[in-house]
Amino acid sequence: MVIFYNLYANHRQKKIALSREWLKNCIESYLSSNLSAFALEKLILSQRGELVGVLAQMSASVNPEYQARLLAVIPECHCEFVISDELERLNSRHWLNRLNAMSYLPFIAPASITTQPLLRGLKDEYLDVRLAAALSLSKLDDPASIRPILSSLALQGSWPIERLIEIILRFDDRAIPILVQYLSDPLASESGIQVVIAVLGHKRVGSSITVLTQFISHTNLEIRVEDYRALGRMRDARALPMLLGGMLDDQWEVRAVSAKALKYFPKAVVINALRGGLTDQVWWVRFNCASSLGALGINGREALLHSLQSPDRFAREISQMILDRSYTKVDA
Amino acid sequence: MSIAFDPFVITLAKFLIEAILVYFLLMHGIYFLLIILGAWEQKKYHQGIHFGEFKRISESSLTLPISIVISAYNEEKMIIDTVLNSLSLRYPQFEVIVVNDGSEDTTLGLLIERFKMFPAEHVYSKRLQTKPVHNVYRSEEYSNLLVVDKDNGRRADANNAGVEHARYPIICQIDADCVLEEDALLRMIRPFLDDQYVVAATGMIRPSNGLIVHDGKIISRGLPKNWLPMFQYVEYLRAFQWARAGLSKLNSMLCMSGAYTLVRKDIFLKVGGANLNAVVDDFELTVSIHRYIQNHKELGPLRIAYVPDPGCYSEVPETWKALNSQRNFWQRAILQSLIWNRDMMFNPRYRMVGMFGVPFFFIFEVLSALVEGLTILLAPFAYFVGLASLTDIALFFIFGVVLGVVVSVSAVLLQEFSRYRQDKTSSLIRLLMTGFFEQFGYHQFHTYSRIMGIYDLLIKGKIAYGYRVRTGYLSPLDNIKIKDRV
Repeated sequence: MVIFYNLYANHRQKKIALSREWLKNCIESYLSSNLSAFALEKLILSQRGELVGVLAQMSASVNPEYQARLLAVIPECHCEFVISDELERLNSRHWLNRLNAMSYLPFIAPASITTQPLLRGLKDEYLDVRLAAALSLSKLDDPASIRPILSSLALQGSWPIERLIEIILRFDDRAIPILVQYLSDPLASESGIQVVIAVLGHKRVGSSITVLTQFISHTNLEIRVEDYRALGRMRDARALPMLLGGMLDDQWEVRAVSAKALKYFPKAVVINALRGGLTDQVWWVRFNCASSLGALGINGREALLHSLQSPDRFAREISQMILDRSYTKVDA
Repeated sequence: MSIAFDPFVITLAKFLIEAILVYFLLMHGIYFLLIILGAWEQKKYHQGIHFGEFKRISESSLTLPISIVISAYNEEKMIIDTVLNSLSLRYPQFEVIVVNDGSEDTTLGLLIERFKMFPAEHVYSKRLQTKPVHNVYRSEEYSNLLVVDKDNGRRADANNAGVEHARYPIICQIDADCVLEEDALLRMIRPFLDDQYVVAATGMIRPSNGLIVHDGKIISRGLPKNWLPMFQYVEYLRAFQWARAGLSKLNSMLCMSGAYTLVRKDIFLKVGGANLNAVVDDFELTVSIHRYIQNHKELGPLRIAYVPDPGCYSEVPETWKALNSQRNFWQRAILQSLIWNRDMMFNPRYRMVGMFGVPFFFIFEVLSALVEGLTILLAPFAYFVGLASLTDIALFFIFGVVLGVVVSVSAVLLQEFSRYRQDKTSSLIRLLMTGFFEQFGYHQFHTYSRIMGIYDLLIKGKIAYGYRVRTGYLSPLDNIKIKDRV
């Protein structure tokens, strides 16, 4: 029986692969005006089940202009029923059907049709479906969907915060005012704040430094660490006083992040602060201080040379290591 | 025909026969359940992969960079293809570190010549004890390739040296006879991105015998031509594709394959790196990581993930002598590690690992060889003392064979209903036949190798690998020859 199943399944798989390839070629012919809309419509009707997958595959691997052209294929060929089918699948009882529909919708229909159903998908009972909805919304790039995404996905302990940061980072710069505004919202969740701070840091939004300053004394350590990390990523002189303050923080995580961030500021005051950090009681702070001094050019390396005479054995050894490394880089 | 024996001996023999029967039933029952559990895990894994998932990971700026560490000792036949294969992987940021572990052949020379390597300074933090490093080479062609040339110290030592030279937070250990799928790293990094508590991940390995590789690229994925690697193919299917996934679900997977494993560098260093005194470092490393996880519960629900996706192919022995050596070696490794970590056995402090993983490996992986050996000795005894007739003994062995065939054939059949169905019906028939014939000769030889492994470790104290021979990958040219011959 299994042998018969294997024969059948292999035959079916080959047939699907062939019809997908054929449909893809037909769509490409249509886009290069070698095939009429009427002919394509007839072909699509005979391969109805494969159209969504083929369009999504094609769209995922081409540039935005071509993607817009692909989106127009469905209305031009009067095949709107494909979109209706996918919208219908959003209400399926099986979560996998809902997830697939969420993933495919942005590739086959314009934002005007898909945004609302996707926003509703953010409230799905399955986390994977909510995630697929958020990814699709980020593809549509409508900044208005950022808040709902944060509300439904920035939940403590649901999954690593990096996944959400990645989704929000996909939005373009029109998202920045909304993100800054979110930070002053009293209803914002702590995970959401952490995500937004990280995104602002990654996008290096200098104008948000004033807002970020408010979080350096937040009660949540993770938010504080993320805040100092983001301030470092800005590489903006206005963030320097905060980072120097971070070197004196009670929590070693904050001191370590601040030490790492200071490598972008080649100033005497920074070098002094980092030299002080070489004798910190926590290994990571010392290591980051030494690495940052190594990255600060000649003045930093001079400070490391001084530390070779330090009574602290670790300060001597880490300085030697970083000095060796920085000389190697210069030689290379 | 019966011979008179002390009634106590007869009672003992009777008890042993019944105990063996229960033992085999229990063992095959657990394996069968693990296979079902593994199939369930695999289904869940594939459902969790969304459209465009790997593209997203490859484009994300938050994807963690990886250092691939390849330990090589006398690998002149395969090293160039393996390095080329690693360098051509689809991944945003990674480096390849080849550790030449004092090879006596032309491994280092080939690397220097093919990749235009030149001696370079490389400063690193010395945190693990390794044999002296002579030179570090960089490549003129590939900026992300590093070759570390050191004294021979076995694989654990080479891995430690490689990890010390690694720059990135995730280490990928592979063997020099491994070839990876183009998106293998994208698949393997996924658990780390989805769950911050994942400290290591191991993936599914398949035999590379039958694989056609050209310039490090996999051209085609056929089944091995010979019966011996075919037997191992079915064994890998049973062990890696299903049982290991099932064990992982129970948080009891004690053996991350050294041939294809991702581990967080900080955790690798915290457990002291690969154990230089271990017969094989991978089993011991896995147990050490489990121990670390259970001793540091305050760090959260840390875990080892299993990726049920065949991303790596590794060469399996083509000769009985090499197979004997390998299985003897594996048996010694498991036994040694279980002896070292015997305090974990049935220890509730170590949760599932202590209550199921360690006992399972000891009772069913280590002892099964001895129990099978005992069965063969007990059968004539039972016949001579009149405890069993020839028919009883034959039925007993047929029962054992049927149990083994059921487990192997189930593994093959389950694959047919998964994403990795055989694309040729003739291959499926070959696999089913292999699952059946495996029980006649191959299985008994395997048992013998494992018994000798126990003897070699406990009596002789043998640690070294033994006999090994590489055949190399098939090239497209070989394939043409095969076709022409047909």
